[in-house]
Amino acid sequence: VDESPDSKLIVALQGGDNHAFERLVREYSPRMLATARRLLSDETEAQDCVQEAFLSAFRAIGQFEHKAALATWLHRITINAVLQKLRKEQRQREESIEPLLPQFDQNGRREEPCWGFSQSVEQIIEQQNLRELVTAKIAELPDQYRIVLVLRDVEGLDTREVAGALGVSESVVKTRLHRARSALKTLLHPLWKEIRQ
Amino acid sequence: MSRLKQLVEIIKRWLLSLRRRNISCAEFEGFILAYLEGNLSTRQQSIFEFHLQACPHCQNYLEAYRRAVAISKKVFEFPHAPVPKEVPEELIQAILRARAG
Repeated sequence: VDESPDSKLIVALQGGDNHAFERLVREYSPRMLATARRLLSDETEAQDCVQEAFLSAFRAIGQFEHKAALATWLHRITINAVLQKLRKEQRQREESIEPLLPQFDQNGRREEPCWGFSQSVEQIIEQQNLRELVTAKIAELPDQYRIVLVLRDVEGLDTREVAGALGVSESVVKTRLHRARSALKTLLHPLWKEIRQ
Repeated sequence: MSRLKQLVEIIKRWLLSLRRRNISCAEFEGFILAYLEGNLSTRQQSIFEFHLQACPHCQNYLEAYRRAVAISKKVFEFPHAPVPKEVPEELIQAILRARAG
């Protein structure tokens, strides 16, 4: 018999225990809100999606089969709620990302200083406040680029899934992903040291 | 054809093939995503890598690009992504009310 705290909570939820529902919301809503915020820059929209996700979870809790961890299941439901919102709205607003993209001279040569990488990615990850810095930098990306970056690189959806979710072609997803990564690279420059050449 | 003419022909063809393989940094930029995803043809990959070997700026750029991707993936890796310390109480109450209603 599975005696994990999640398992007890699920049994209580499936039995309709009101305290269990409140515990579920208090325990898991911060992580779900963080997920929604990464994809939606509007706070009200992010909160709406979390609410929508919980209502879907409440409806489906009877069929929850312990195959996935509760957190993973709720995460997936949150992503689906956000995707549904994005599909419904078909955002067309174009925001410029040009200032963050690489620049080239008239002969197509790169115009950018070289960077020194004294620390490995693993060492950088250990830095204090790195998560906050990266979260803030990703939030600076225009919506259409941030959404593709988060769905592909963070949530692990493939190009076809992202294209389907957003109602755009795969080539649009690829272009946006490359531009979003290039722009994020520029925004993360404080993490490495400039080398004058 | 004299040996000299043959040699000149060979050198000309070699120089031409070099020129065809020589892309600019701006053109290189357009290949990066497909290269990292393994979607370049053999010929495209050889052109890409030819430029990469010869251009320290693109080597440095690609390294920074790879790092930015790796860092964003690592930072948000489930379930280690940063979470807010608090969720607005109004949201919690709205969710619980919606369930009851």
